[in-house]
Amino acid sequence: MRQAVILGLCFGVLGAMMVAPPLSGQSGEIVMISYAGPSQEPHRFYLVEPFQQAHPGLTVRLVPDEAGEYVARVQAALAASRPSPVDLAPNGEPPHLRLIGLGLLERTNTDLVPNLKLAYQAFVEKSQGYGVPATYSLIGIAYNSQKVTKVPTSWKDLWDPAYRGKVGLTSSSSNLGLGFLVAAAKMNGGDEANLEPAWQAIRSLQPFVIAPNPTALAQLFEREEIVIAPLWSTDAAVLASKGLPIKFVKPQPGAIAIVSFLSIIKGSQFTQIAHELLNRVLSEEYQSKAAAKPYFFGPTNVKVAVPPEAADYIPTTLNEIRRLQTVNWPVIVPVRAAIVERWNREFAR
Amino acid sequence: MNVELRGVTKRFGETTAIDDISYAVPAKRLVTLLGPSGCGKTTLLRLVAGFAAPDTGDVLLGGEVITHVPSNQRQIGMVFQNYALFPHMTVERNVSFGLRMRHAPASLVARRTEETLDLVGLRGLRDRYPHQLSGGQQQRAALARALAIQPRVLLLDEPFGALDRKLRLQMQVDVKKIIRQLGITTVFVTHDQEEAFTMSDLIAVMNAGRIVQSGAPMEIYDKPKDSFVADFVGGSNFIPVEVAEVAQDGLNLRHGTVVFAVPWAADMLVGQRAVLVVRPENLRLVQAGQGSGGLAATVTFVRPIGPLLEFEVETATGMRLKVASVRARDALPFSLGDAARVELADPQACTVFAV
Amino acid sequence: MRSPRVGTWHQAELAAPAVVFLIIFLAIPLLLLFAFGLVDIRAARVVPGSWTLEHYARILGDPFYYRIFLRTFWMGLGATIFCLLFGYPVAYLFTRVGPAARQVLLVLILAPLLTNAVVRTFGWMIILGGQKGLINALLLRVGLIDEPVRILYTMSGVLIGLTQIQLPFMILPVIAALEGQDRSLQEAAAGLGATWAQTFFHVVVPLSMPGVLTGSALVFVISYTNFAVPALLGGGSFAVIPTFIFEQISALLQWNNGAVLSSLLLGTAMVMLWLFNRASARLLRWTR
Repeated sequence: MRQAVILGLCFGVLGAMMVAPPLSGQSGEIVMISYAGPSQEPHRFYLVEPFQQAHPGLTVRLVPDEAGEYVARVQAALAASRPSPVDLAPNGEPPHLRLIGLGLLERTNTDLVPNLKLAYQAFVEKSQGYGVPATYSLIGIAYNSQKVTKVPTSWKDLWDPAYRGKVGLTSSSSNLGLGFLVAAAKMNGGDEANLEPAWQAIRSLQPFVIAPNPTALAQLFEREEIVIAPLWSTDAAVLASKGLPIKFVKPQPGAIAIVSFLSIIKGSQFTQIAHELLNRVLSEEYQSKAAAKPYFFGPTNVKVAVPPEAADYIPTTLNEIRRLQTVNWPVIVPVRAAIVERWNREFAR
Repeated sequence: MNVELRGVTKRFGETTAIDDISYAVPAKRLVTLLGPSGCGKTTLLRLVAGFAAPDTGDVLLGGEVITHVPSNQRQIGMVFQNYALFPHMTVERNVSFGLRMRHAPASLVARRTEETLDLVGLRGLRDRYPHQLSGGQQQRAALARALAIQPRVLLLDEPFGALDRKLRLQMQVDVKKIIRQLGITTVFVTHDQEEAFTMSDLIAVMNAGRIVQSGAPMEIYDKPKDSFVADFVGGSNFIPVEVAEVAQDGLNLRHGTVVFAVPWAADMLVGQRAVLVVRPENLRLVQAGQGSGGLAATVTFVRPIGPLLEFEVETATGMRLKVASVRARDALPFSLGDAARVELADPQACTVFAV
Repeated sequence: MRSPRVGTWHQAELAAPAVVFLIIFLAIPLLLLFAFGLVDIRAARVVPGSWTLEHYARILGDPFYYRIFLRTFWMGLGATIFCLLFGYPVAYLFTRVGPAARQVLLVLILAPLLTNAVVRTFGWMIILGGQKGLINALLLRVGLIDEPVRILYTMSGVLIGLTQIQLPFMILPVIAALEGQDRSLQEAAAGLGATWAQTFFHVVVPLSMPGVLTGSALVFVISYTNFAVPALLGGGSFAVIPTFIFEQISALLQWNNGAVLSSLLLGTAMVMLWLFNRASARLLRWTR
């Protein structure tokens, strides 16, 4: 009898623990995915802080995640009919398309985002109605100007034997890795649909150092593990602002531009109020701060001018903007899993 | 091979474990260090074995100073109190350990191990692990292991302590026989006087870091040098007395109104306080009404232990005495509460110490 | 005296919460994990009635995964060997020093367990990372190498990291085994003519085997299944099963692959533990 009571109590307590909804969804805490390291600062200082001042009851928690690790958690929560553990997330074009395909993004109610009128319409179209184009960044070549004396001008310069073993890459599960893969394909006569030349080329680049994510790649520059790597303009800018001899070039035939969309996640308990964050991210205030030193995020607001010192990182002239390379992501995204698997089989050590 | 200690002192912090001992163990003899726990006897053994170094003084083996020779070069066999058999080795591996560590030729190792196992009667158990052996078998294995290296000296540290009484008595005899057969110089440590008497050629009684008396076992028993030895070895009654008369051939010692006459001379003065030491078996109980002299007493405890009867009596003067006598079959001459007289059986066999 | 039956009942009562806890948080999830490999999972939802062996067959039929499992095994074994090589002398030292030195040693031994992962990762970067890393600086200074060697993002780096955090799991059981040893055994060995080294290798080490084996089993299993260290110090595309599981689920949403690989990781770990236990039992026949 007594055993039954004890057993019952145990199950009762544990059952209650499992059934009770997580408190975070109710306490007025909005969870937003962000970048790692200093790149997170524009979100923190110019988006979250003003928002929290305007809404004293609400807090926004920024969770660094560069590899889209949150997606699996969102998917699991939705499959179990639980609220999403994440409310907003910035996604580059490839994951943006992927998440639309998975049905994990909330459609934007344009009435709640008046600033959308100020955004470049080409970028807005790319969002397909999910989220807003928050910023754009370039994938180019970052190099250590003390170790690399010949200024690189083309992606081909990564294959210079002088840098053997000192080239850094990220795996093709990241946007950076995917973008570089496409660039390598195009440079060698392939394209989005024919990546074989890229695999050949990257194989001949071995040995290289594979970082788990762009922030780690930036750290490798700091510790002089690598001297040259394809990198985001924003990460290169942060490194340079720390006084490191890191320079960024937009290689021939042009740097790759990737738009980052800030979107509301399906299953969020805060869809209404989250639209205000989407509106704020498009505001002149946020856009001009994010475009300024040392972040140099490309502004998507037509009214925000690119500051002159950003010239190394963001295209400032029409000519430059024309030369930006874009990737036909709808071709790449559906085969992403196969690309990652190919990468692992080729290069996993 | 003889062992000699010269002015050896060993301190542990504030306490002096060994206090300036000089002593020689004659070759091929079995000497027992007998004393209460904490008297320093085990420390002395460890100094000889080389597990500790004296603060001052020297240890000699066969006339050679070995004070600073490490224990693994002394070739001394030791049997530990808990046997210290290597639990992860079979009996055979234990016994052959010393030889193997010396890189003795395999044939020699095999032969000597065989011989030693035969000597202690463990041949059939050679493949057992120590935990598969009984206490007595472990003890034999430990002895065999010590003997296999053909030690110059054998040291035994309370080796029978963990055995039950019957087995202990048997092992004492067996070990003594083996040692006698091998003719090996042996130092044996115990606090058990019976064990000491069974085993020893010579006994050195230790107290508080010193050797207080040494000699043949019976000599120690019959002529204790002081009251500690008299008490520790065999047990004694201590009767406080005053010297009443000093004569050419004897003393008269008075306890209360009773006078004991002892038939030997001593360097004492009339009126001096002394203590008369009497072994229990040297006292005799007499029926209260019969004869005269002796101490009036009441029987307060009776302990019939097989061949002996032991009484505890309380004298009219308030003294407790132990009396022992051979028990006759079916006879119990005194019972609890009986009144009796206590007499000296053999005045010759008493000792007197001045106080 | 209480009858054994009464005692058993009371023990059962005491163990009830733990048993319930284990059933809910260990047994059920493990069964689910295993089952997830036997059904189709789409968008994190089990497709009803889709029982299939296809996922297991796909992975078990692919030599690529055998290679990764083998690498994972070497990682676990390497960490175990290094922990033993570095941990044993520390444990031995611990049993030889006075109480004050023990206090200091104990804090040093436990330190890896007390630091948090962020601090530790930062420390590793400083020690292992690049030209400026402590290890490279030291090796260059001593003249053992002419050029900085890459440690970060290599198996060596991962093994260094694993060894560092896993050391306490080796040292503590070995200390326990050494402390339990009767000192008179070492005296007995010396008395029988054994040198220090002979005593150490013929008496001290064999008698500490129970601790060594416990520590090795712990370190191996924790290293074999470790995710954090290979993820942080192995760099991108460091192929061991735990990082692979993570990538399958978090980057690729391949829940089936994740479940199959997790089950296989757990299964192989259990089989190895079982084999190890059998081998240990043979080695420790002398214990009661």
